[in-house]
Amino acid sequence: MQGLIPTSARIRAFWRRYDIAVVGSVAFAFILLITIFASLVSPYDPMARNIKNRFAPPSSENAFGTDQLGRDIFSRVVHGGRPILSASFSAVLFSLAAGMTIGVAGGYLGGPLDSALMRLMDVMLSFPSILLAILIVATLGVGLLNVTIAIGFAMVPVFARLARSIVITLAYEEYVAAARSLGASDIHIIWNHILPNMLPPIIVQASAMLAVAIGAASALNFIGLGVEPGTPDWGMMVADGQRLIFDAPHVPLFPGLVITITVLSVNYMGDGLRDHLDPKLRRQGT
Amino acid sequence: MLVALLVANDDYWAGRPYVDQIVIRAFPDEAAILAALEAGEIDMTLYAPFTSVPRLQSSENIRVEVGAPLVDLFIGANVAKEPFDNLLLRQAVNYALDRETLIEAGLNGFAEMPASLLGPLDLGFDESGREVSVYDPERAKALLADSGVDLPLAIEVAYENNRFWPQLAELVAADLEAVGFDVTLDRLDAGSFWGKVGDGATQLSLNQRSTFVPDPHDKAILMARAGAEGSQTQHQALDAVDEIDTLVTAGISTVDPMEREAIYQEFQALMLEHLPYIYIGYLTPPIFVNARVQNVETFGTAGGRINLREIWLSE
Repeated sequence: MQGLIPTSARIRAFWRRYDIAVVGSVAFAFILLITIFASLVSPYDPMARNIKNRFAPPSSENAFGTDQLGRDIFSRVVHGGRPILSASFSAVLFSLAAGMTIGVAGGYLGGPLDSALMRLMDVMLSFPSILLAILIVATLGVGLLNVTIAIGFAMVPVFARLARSIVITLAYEEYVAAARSLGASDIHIIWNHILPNMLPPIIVQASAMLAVAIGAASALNFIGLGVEPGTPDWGMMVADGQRLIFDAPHVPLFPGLVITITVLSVNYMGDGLRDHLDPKLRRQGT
Repeated sequence: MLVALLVANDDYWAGRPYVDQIVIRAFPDEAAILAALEAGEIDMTLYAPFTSVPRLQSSENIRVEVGAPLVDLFIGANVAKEPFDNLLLRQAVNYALDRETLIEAGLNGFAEMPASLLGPLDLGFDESGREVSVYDPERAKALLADSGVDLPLAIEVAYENNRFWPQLAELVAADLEAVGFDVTLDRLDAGSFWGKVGDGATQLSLNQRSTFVPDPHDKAILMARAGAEGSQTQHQALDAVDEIDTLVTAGISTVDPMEREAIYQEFQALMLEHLPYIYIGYLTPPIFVNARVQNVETFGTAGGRINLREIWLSE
């Protein structure tokens, strides 16, 4: 039947269903590309100072204006995504790997191991995640690597809890029982039957946590726990421009705007992924 | 946040203050201070952003006055440990600083070019010190080469994460990197910064010292006497520490102004020779005042000591 529906109608239906998600995905892809190819896109060296041209408003020469040291804000914004996005992606990957390992081990094996792991996760969840991240950075020391570890560590319980709840459900599915009765090992069952089936909700969760990680990395850089001062970084730029909000609002405005757009686009993308990967929502939409 | 409430003392020996009470308030950041000042919630501050001055100068409700150069801004070099126990490196830092740019871009012009530890209002101020506090990057490079260290030399610069310090730190780091240092900036909250400086755990620190009164002893005792509380450079490790101590003692033990002047000129020359402090400028801070506040004495206020007793309100 699907072959009888014209392509244009299918595109329209797809757009109606995923319009916000498409906009979010395109926006995020655009930001990612700009960040990856920052050196090609930025018109000036993001560190180059021009003291005579401080606080210049947006113009054809400096699209976003210049900052307190006469540096081109557009070039700094373009380069400024690298620390935050690399820290956020790495943190999500770390927490995903650690959280899934803990969740799958606890949920599949059960017993005292499950209780011990989940109580540990409860303790971690009892701290507000940003506070936990600050505590970890304060202990490990200032730096982007430590910010990444801190954010990743703070998000581990979210993935562990989710993975465990999925595993508990999947472990009693008939196909798992069948595999077990055929003599499949635990590793085989987890790898071939449980992990593939738990991926959709995990991917949705990962996209949501990416937005959280971007916000957290921006916040930690804002309070000076991440990149070294002077480094182009969205959070640091907002912090440096904060006191200029009344006199040169363009200095904190553009990096702040980019953080907002990035977080929003990731959230929209995550919503679309959820709509697409959740069978119930997919049925409602078609 | 309310920090203190000062109430007029009717029985004060010099007469009752004009205002009945003064509320001291704390704000989380400079932008909040500026917003409160413009909204008329506060009447006076020293801590609004310097960048706001041009705009506020045209305001009918706010007056900006410029304070006297009572505050020394400097880089404190920890002379008790490597690498800045090496005089050549301290001299290299001194000549690497483009002070005109530091004052223009880092302090929005609110400072005077420095000469030495003593300021232009101090007895015995020796202007010839300005010949040492000059920008000469080639000389800085030569001094670094003579020091025999491997270049680039990795160093750490600590500073407070407030006011103009972050901006100043970036500029200082750029100047130092241009001559052969590899600078790591250590941005600290005020408590951590002073703890680190006091513990002698810094290499270079962006620092300041103000005086209650413009008498040279005020700075000399705190910044140069061996073991003085508040030492910012661990200067007890200097070779000339006994000589410096003798001059500090002689300065406060002598009554004759001419003799004192000579003592403090010798003292300044000695400090410039050994350079535990590398001077950035004499801060002339803008004082932000609500237009209704009258009789603000800018001299002491510049050093953070506000004579509240003489203030009165026009309403």
